[in-house]
Amino acid sequence: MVIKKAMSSSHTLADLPKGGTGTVATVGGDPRLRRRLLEMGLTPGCPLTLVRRAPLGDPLVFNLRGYDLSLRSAEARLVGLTTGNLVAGIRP
Amino acid sequence: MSDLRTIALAGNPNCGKTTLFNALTGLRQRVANYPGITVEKKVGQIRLGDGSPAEVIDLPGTYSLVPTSPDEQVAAEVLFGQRADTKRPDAVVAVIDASTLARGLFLVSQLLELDRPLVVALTMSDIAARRGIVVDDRALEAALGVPVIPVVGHKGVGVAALRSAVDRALEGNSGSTGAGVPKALAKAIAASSTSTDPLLSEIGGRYAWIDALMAASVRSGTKSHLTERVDGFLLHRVFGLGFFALIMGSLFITLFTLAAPLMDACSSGVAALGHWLTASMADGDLKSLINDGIFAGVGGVVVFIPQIALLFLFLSLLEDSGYLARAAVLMDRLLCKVGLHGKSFIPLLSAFACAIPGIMATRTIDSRRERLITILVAPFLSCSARLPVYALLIAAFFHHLPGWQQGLIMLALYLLGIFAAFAVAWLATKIRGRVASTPFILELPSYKLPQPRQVALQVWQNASAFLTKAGTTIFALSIVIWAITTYPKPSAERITADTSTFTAHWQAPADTPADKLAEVRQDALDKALAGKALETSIAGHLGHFIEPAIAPLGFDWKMGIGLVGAFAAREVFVSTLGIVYAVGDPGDATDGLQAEMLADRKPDGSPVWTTAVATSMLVWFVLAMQCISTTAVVRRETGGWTWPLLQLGGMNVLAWIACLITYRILA
Ligand SMILES: Nc1nc2c(ncn2[C@@H]2O[C@H](COP(=O)(O)OP(=O)(O)O)[C@@H](O)[C@H]2O)c(=O)[nH]1
Repeated sequence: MVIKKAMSSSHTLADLPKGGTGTVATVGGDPRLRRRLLEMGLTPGCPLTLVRRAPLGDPLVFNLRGYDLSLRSAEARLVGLTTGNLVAGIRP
Repeated sequence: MSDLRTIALAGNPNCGKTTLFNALTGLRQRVANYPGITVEKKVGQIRLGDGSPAEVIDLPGTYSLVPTSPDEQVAAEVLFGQRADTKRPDAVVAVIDASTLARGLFLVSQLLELDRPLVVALTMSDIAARRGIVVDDRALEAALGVPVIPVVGHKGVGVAALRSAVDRALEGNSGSTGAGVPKALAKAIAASSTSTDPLLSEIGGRYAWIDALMAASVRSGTKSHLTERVDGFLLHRVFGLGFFALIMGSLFITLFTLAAPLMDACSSGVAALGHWLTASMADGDLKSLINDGIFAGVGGVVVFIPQIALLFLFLSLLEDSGYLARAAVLMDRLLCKVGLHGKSFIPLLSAFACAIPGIMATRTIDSRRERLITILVAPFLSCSARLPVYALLIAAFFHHLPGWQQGLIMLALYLLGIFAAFAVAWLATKIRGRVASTPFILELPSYKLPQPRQVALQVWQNASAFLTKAGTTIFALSIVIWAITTYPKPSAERITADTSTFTAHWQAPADTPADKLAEVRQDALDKALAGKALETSIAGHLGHFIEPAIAPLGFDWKMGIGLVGAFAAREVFVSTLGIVYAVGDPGDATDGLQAEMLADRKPDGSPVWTTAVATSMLVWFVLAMQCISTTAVVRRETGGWTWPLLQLGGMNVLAWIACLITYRILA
């Protein structure tokens, strides 16, 4: 069980440092986009990791639910993370 | 529509659905389009357990039954029985990737609600096993209430079991034929639906059910270390972009070095076949129609096959390995800046071989706005049909430059096209007003070794789709071009007059052996008369007619005829000039055409083809829209005449202005 402290300044997915892990708290955006983000598995409580950034800085690549998902920072900013608490990074 | 029973394969993109479809149907499949849209419809035949035939439909990959792209829309409509052209499937096979199970189960949670017999095929279990993921398919089956069959499509593992599960599901006596939504799923959704956020509660409820299901039946493993390491390199700031440049560079070099000789071989092969078939025929219109109309038309289509096949070979290798998704990630930032999308990359790349497959590939772009802009600018990218024209003009007018500088000119032409595409995309976005940029949500599949059989099948299907879509137009146009360059024929008096003019002026080349003199003379006369005949034909009149419009660009009526011919396909420009300049078919004698063009004089004695004219012509070929087949495809893709006409008019006006500026500066 990997336990990491979510950085207190990390409020959205876009603020995660490379290799950083967080837990989804909220998902925003217009209804269509919001639905798709949720459908891709970004539901509240889901842990994920920022694996890397593309060479030109954007998009970002996240690992969640056993797969890699690429989002632009614009979409990543719509996903709020739980703050302050200890969060489970990867399930055992 | 037939009354055969149909089985639909549904699943996420990259889940191994196509591989499974091929394993189920073998080669008994065909690719068509859903009427009115360009989403591909793949249908195959199988025999059920009782010996009766049935149809298998490979639906486009989808993440959800609430669609966001034209592709996904079709999948949802077929499954809900909302398409008039496709019967509601009698059974559904949900194809889910064992290594990304949660997302696949999300789709399954929606498929369960369709109330159709459902069978789950679990693919990639080999990959999952390597990562330590163990799926207890019996436990999963019990929880879902439908059969769960592990398969490895390309090895045929589990395919027989899947078939019999489908048989039982169709017979409806397996006790699990869509008996309804599992209670746990209904309960999970109901449990969260008390909240004030219906969207969140619906999807949250499904994932809560999935989490519980997976906790009970899946031992989770590690993520893919191989993929992680490869991505560390391929998405690296320096190596990643370097590798990308290397891949694209080698793609281009291969297309040029390999495809050019293959193209030549194809067209001369077809022409030779025509001449061989008609060798015993008397000269006349019929022979001319067969050789210069039909076989030239077939040749005009066939020359594209090597390029297109090579392009699709590259694309399938890149796609099946998982690299294309990375290419979209690498290029998104750049493309986004000019109003395009990471997913525009593949269409634009294809457009370098031919705009038509490029435009057809835009259907994976979710946003209509970005899709239209991609379609709009794709023809600016120099397709393979421009290559012979570039090669002819560069060789003729820049032959005094060293080879590498000629290469640079070629490169500059390609860059001009890319620049024009980006500039117009940027402008179009500005004009239409930038709404919030379309989201970029892209799964990066794990890397896999492409399967040769699968790749070969894709190349074949894509190449034949191109042939039927573009080939028919190019072929028909070739015959039209033949007719307008042949009729009306010059009168007998005209021919007599032209012959005597020829006799008065013709001098045998100094080195002609005496015994060959008559032969050489006849040959030269034939070519001179062919040139004169072209002048009196409809095309000749058209050339004269458009001369005032193109004269400011430095073009004369002979070039005008060439430009008219180029509307069938751009490379026809070269062969049309060959006829105008009376060197016959320049296929194997481009040198002769170059010499004639250089020697051509205006009435005042100055050369017709100056460097300024040639440069202007090159700019014209980079920027102008002169491919009717592309226009036809754009009409079909956009469902109306607005976009194709806008594109046709806009590109040609732009090309005209650019040529005018070029010619004024250089002349
Ligand atoms: N190892 C493994 N690879 C597979 C399996 N099924 C498909 N593939 C590979 O996964 C990639 C994507 O498969 P494809 O059938 O094109 O997926 P689709 O996008 O769902 O149609 C290809 O490279 C296939 O060769 C499988 O069961 N095991």
